[in-house]
Order: sequence, then structure tokens, then C-alpha cells
Amino acid sequence: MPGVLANVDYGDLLTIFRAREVIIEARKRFVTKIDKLDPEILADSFYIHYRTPILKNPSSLESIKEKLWYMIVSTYINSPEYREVSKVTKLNSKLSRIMATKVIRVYINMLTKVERNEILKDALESNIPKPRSDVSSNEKDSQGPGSSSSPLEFKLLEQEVRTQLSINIGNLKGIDEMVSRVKSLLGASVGHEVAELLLNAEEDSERVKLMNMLRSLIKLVSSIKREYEIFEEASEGKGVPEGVKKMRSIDEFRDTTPSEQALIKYSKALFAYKLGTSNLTVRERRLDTKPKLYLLIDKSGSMFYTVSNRVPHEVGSLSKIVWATSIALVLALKGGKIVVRYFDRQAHELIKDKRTIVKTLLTLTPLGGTSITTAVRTAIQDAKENPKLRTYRLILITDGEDDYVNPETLIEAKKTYRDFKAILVGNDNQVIEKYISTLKIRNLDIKEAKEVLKTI
Amino acid sequence: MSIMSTNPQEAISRIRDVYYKLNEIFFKFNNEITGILISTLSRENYLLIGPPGTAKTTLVYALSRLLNAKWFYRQLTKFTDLEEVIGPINIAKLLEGKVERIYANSIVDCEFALLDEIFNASSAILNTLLSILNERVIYDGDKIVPVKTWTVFGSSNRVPDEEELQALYDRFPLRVFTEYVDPDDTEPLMIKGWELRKELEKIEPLASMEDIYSINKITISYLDNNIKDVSKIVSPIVANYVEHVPVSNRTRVKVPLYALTYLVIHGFTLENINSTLLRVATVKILKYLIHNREQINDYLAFASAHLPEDLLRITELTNEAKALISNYAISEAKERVKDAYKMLQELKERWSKLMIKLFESEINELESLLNKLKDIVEER
Repeated sequence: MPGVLANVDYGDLLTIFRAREVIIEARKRFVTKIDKLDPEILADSFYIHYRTPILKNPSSLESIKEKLWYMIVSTYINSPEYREVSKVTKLNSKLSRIMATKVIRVYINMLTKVERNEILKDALESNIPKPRSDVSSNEKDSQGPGSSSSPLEFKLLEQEVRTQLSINIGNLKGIDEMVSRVKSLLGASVGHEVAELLLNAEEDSERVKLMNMLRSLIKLVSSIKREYEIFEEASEGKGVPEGVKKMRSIDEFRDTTPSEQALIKYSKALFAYKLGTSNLTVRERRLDTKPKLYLLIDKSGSMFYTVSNRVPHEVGSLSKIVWATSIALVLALKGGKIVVRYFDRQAHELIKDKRTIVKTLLTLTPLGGTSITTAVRTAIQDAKENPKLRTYRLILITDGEDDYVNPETLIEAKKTYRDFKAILVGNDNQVIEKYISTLKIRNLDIKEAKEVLKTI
Repeated sequence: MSIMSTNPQEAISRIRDVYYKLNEIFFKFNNEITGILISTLSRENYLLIGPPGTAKTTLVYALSRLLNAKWFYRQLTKFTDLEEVIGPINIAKLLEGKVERIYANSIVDCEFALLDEIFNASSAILNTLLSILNERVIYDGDKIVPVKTWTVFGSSNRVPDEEELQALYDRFPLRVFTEYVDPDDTEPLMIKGWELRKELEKIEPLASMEDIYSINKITISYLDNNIKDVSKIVSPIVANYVEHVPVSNRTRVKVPLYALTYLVIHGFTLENINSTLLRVATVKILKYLIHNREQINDYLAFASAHLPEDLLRITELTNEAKALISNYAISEAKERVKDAYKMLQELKERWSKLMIKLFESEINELESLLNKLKDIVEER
């Protein structure tokens, strides 16, 4: 049996299921020859990530395939990449599956290399892999015979395994810290989503880009959240009319329903009777203690730049789109009812939770022109389909790079929503500024973000 | 007791009584009983597959009696005539030149129908059955006759291989595989079996078909209003399941309804339903959507992987301990067993009674396995 872990029951139904799940995941990722692999190897690839692996005694290894798999697992679980990634994948089946497919790729590639290269084959045949001393206590007592010999061919093989691991696993430095920070700031579900996106990245450059965006986002969101308490709307004391009720105190007199007001004019006696018997009906007002906002965030190519620089995803810089998203996230973290639509030439899917906001931000493609009119029209349509949205404030965040904005659409949106404001980031737009209340942002910093939160 | 009232809460309470009664009179039949109630409450056809003598017919009979429902029973063979199922031609009318049937006491006239050995039926009957199962009508000559049958139960001792029977098989989306009890359970089976015989003679209705209609109506109405939210929770689980066990589109659509009825049977009101409960119920009802006996293992593994996090962690620790014992890593195994015990104890204290009830069999099984493992590690 080619399984190399002592703490996996290969005959268990759940283990067999996990192995099948790795196959399904690998097929989705176009991993070739996956169907030819032993289920024990597939189970190992999963459980080295899901559990703390305990390697079996290598002296029982017989075939070249078993020895090669043992060597890959042993090298991998002692690598800095594994130390980093295992903290994230432990007890997380989805992330363990993703990483399992990457290790499987290494195995398949190495298998092909060994089959084609006699030197590597001989190196494997003549050597029983040496277990590393820091893997587990169980394994310390089980050093295999022949493990001391380390000829040049074997070193070549080891080097080849490390190269393959480096190509397929990539640089995962800082992932655990990043995921932990996201979890503590935005919650476990957002953390898992971010971990998945980071592990899914096929290339290191893509991962660096995501890490950069996340770093900026976390820094900004945590700074604003720490320093600022948004919306003391309860203190406004106005509330939103919602249904009718019997009047309980004289303060509610101003809210008497039109039919009761008519009584004052036409039947004072009846009005007095109803007042005396506490049967006057008034409009019920529900206090809005949390913000209710509909954010339209521009995601056109230009939003991925900083205000002053036109280099997208520049390391250490803060792009307009990250800045805008952090506003949405802070509002969501404060318990507000937030819906978001990113838009370019067209409006994208309506998002209602912070997990999807972050996921969408990280997967957005910085492409497409800008059609503010289309986006605002979509928001109007949303309010028609869902009248509850009419009590929301509509906020447009854009750099205003749109040649034509239809003023009539802006006016209609103003009438449809409780309020309509625009945040112009690093740019001007005469139509927007003329028809709706606009706040211009020149620097993407915490101070400006706080100003925006106060204004909206 | 008036069982005509259709107040949904009272109806649910009475159906719970039926559930308890069936569990009380049948021996180790909870799986089959839950399935039959899910199918009845969601107006779905239910197939019982298993060897002869596993109380398939008796279960349907007992349910009919407890619900005061009129039931139709036929054992189908390839020689069974269509008249035996949908009623004979009215000879008196025939003499007048009119072709009419007498539907009284046929499948058309009954609330429940149990078709024994359903896959042995002739093709003429199969064609008629398809429209009964799917549309609840029969095409009789030039007439379309509505069928009163609320739920059709099928029983068989085999899963059909024949291509022509696959359409009929899919009309029974909810399936249960009955089996003989363990040899060790023969004594309690014998006692329960004799008690069951007596019980069936004096069994009285505890609920009515009105209760079934009422619950069916409120669950459907709940889904009409909440399907978007419900499907967000239910669909990822079903999507994962169908990667392992194929389920037809027709059946996938119905999964939210089955899940809700499962919760109703287990004492949860529609107002109290939350995402955790829906997830639990979805995983539980997927066991009725398997095609053959071999897929039971696929389901069990799937259900383990989708256990609530705490329970899954204990399962994983137990599996690890098992593997470590096989590999003579006793001290490591001992640690796992100890951790698993501790977690199980904490879980029992933290979980609500209803939640523990939902996972009673899994918890008992884990506890028994842990006890065995504990004995082994202590011996060594």
C-alpha cells in the first residue's frame, strides 16, 4: 500500500471520500493522469494538509512509486512553504483539497521524470528515503536502513523534487499572517475566502498582487475602524415612517394619520373621543440606528490606479478601488445594511455581504470603460423591484472618467432614494457636481475616508 | 380528540405523534419511518427496496391506519391486468355503448397506493403508472381522469437494470433500502414483532390526511416566499453531493421541500428554521436520494464530511486513533482518544437537546467506537 501516513485509516469511508474529492478538485484544475493514482496517495495529499502528518516507517517502502511519494511528502512537510500553508489548511477541507492538487502535480511530474531518467530511477531504487528528524516523534524511532547513503544521484533527485515543489506550490510567505489578520478584522468567513483566493493563485505574481491589495485594504479598514465611530443616526431622532399604530404619547401627535387630521376639521367631538380613549392612530416611526447604504463603486481600469500614479497594482500603493471598497467594508463592519454594485460599462452583481465584497474586489479585472448612467439606472431599477431600498442612501464612488452622464437619470435617482451623494476620487465631473451633492477626494488617506463617512 | 382541525401547529404535533408511534411499534425502523413521512408530507413517491419480510408493506399499512387514509394495495406481476389497478370497465354502460370505468376502490379512489413488486408490472400498467406518479392523472381512452392518490409507495427487492424501467425508477425520488436486522438483534425483533401484530389490530388514527395537506401547504408556501435564501444554503451541499451520487434535476429542485419536512417531523417549527438546521436537514435527507445499495457507503462518507464542525473533529480524531493503533503508535493514539472524549463531552454539554437528537445515532456510534479504542490503548 503506497500510503505513507501513520495517522490515516486508508480503509475508512471518510478517507476514501476525501481521496475522491481530491480527484474531483484535480479534474477541475486539469491535472492530468489523476485517475491513475492510488487512492492512498490522494488521501495522503489531502491529510498532510488537513491533519498534522505522522510518517510511517520508510523501511516498508517497496516500489519506486512509493519511495518517490514518500520522498516528496517528506521534503514538502519540512519546507518553509508547508510550515506556512499548513497553519491555514489545518482542519479546512476545501483549502486542503486545493493544496492536495498542487502536491499531486509535483508527484505526477516527478513520476514522468523518473520514468524517463535512468539516473533518477537508480537513485530511488538504491536509496530508501531518509525521514526528517523534525517531522514527528513517531517517525524519529523509525529511521530506515540505508538512509545514510546520499550519492550524487540522490542529491540530484532531491534537487529535482525541491524544484518541482517550488514551481507548483509557489511562494506562500506571509499567507498565514495575512489570513489571520483578515479573520480577526473581517471575520472567519472572509478569512477563508481570502485564503482560498491566495492558495488558488496559479502564479506568484498574481499572489503578490492580491497580497498587496489586501495589505492596503486591511491597513485602511483597521485604521478607520479604530479611530472613528460612524453614524450616530439614532441621535437624529427622526426615523423612517413605517406602518401605523395607536398614539401612546403626546410627542407622537405630529404623526397623526391624514384621516385623523380630517377629524379635527369635520368632527371635533369624535376626535376628542378618540384622543380621550387613546384610540388615535399615528404613523409609526422606526429609528434607523444603523446606516443603510447602496454603494455604486466604479471598477473601470482607471480606478485601479492611485490618485497620482497611473501604475496599476503598484506595491505599497493604495488604489482608488481599494480605498472605495474599504469604505464599504467599514460600513458593513459597523453593522450597517450595505449593498454594493461594482460597475464599469455595465453594472455587476448586487452584493450584500462583506465576504463577497472582498472576494469581488480581489477578483475584479481592471478593464472596461465607465458608464455612470447605466449604473445609476440599474440602482433605480433595483429600488423599483425592491421598494425597501428606497429607504437607503445611494452613494456613487467614481473617479468621474465618463464623457457623458445623463442628468435626468441622476435626478430620478435622487427622487427614488432617500438621498443621493457622489464621491469623486481624484477627478472632476461637471454634471455630477451640478446635479448631486458631491464630495471631492484628493488624497486616498484615512483622513479623507473619515470625511467621506461623516458626510454620507 | 378532533383530528379534523387543520391548525398547522396542531397538525405538526399530531404528525409528530404518528412519527413516535411508528418508531414505537417497529423495530429499528427510524430511517424507513422518517423517509415515509418525508414523502407523505412533501407529496412525493417513495420506494422501499429490500428483501421480502422486512416490513415494507406493514409500514405503509400502519401509516394508512394512523392517518385514517384509504389505501390501495396490489402485488404486480407481468400478468396483472390494468383493470386490477385502475378499475374494471362498467359493463352496464358498455351495453349502452359507452366506455366507462368503475373507479371505486381502485388506485384512483385511494389516498395511498402501495404497488408491491412494482418493476414486475407489464408495459401497459407501467405507462399508466408514469402518468399517475408524475401528474396524478390517468389517460383513460379519450378522458383525463384525476387521481386522488396523494402518495404512491412502491416496493421491490431489486433495483431495475432495464433501460425501460429507468424513467419509472426516477419517478420515485425518495428511496430507502431495507434489510434484515443483525443476528444479535433477533430476540428484541421477535418480541417487537409480536407486539406489532397486536398493535396493528387495535391501531387508531392519531392524525388525518387534512393534517398532511395543511403541513404540505405551509411548507410549500414557506419555500415560495424564501426559496432564494433557502437555496443559497441548500444548493452548495446538493452540488457537492451530486459530484458523488448523480441526482436528477427534477429531484434536486425538490430537495428544499424534503429538508423542511424533515425538520417539521423532528419538531422544528418553520419560524425557528435557521441556516444550520437547514444544512443538517439537507445532509440527512440526501440519504433517500441514492440509486442503489452500493451508494449507501458514498452517502455515509458524504454525511461524515458534512457533519457539524465539532462532531466532524471528533470523527477525525477517532479515525486518526484507529490508524495510529494499526501502526503501533499507541501513545499518539491514546492522546487522540483522550481529546476525542473531551470534545464529545463538551459537545454534549453545549448542544441543544434537539440537536443531539438529530445526531443521536452518530454520537452513539462514535461513543461506542471510542470505548473500544480506549480499551485497546489501555490494554497495550
